[in-house]
Amino acid sequence: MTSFNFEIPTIETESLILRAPLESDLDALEVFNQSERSHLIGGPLDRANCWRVISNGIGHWALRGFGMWHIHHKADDRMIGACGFIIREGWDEPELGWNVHDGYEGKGYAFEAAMAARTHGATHLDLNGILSYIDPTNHRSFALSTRMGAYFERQGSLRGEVADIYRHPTTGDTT
Amino acid sequence: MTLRHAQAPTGIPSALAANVAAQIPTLVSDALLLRAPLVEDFSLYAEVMCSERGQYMGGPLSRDDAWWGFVQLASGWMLHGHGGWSIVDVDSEELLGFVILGLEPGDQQIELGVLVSESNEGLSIAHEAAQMARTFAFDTLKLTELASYIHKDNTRSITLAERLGAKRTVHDDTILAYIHTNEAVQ
Repeated sequence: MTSFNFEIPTIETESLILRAPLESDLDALEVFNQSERSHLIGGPLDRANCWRVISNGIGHWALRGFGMWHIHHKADDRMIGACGFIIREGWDEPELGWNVHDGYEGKGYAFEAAMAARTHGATHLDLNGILSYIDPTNHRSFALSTRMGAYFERQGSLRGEVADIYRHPTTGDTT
Repeated sequence: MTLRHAQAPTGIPSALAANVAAQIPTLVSDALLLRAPLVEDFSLYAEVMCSERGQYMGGPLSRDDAWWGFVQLASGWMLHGHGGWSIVDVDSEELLGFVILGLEPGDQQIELGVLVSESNEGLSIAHEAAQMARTFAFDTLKLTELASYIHKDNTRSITLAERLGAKRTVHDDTILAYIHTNEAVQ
């Protein structure tokens, strides 16, 4: 088989590793996408569609040169969410997005992952001062974007649903 | 104006995307070039799959579902070491269609699938592109068998599969599986 010499960048933080989506993440994705909380980001999804999430995540990197990481919890050695950059039809520009699976929310992991992703995007991917679309009922993500220093820019829409658009501060060149 | 999501990558990400594209093998014949799929190629893919012409390939699909299918052309290379190509005219580089060595969970075999734009139907493009991908699968990847899953009413694709010498089997009530066998490894 042809082997690919392309690596989706890995980012290590104190508790987490942001890494490429893997097919072995399918079980963790399926559990999350059955949950109530997945409804905020397009769930629920069956197993076949969870596989397409993985394919789509990897293909996003291949076709666009940036994308989402899966968040790996170092101590528990498991995938606990996803974080990174996405643009698709219906998006005005690339978004910084995140989600954390049940049992791991409210522990600062989303903040840790999103800050690391944002810094990497600004310094390595030409993604600086980007936006996040937040469902107005998603108070946890609103709180996180505020904690990250993002500010409310305008109300917009994403795929026919009302979304609040938060703008992240630009990062100076720290390289 | 082309919307941002439909544009080719720019800046640093364009170098990363180009690195992936450069590693997808390019296949050439007298008439056709099979090359890495690009974001800009999606509009043609959607034109086929979101129209009535997609009816025998699980469509007509929504734009979102078409995108998920399109992305597999690229992600397959990174997940499995085989995937899809955009078919272009070797001289003009005009985009003509797509061909894939695909694999989804539940598939018994790697699938050989091809689609061409409406204006390029009946010009032997699908036949030639399918042959090129199949030869790559057998000679380079050393695969022994491929399957083409075809709706029983899709006479155009059935004709193509038979012209390619694939063996007709029944997959389920509506789908035929045409099996391509690598004679060299029998």
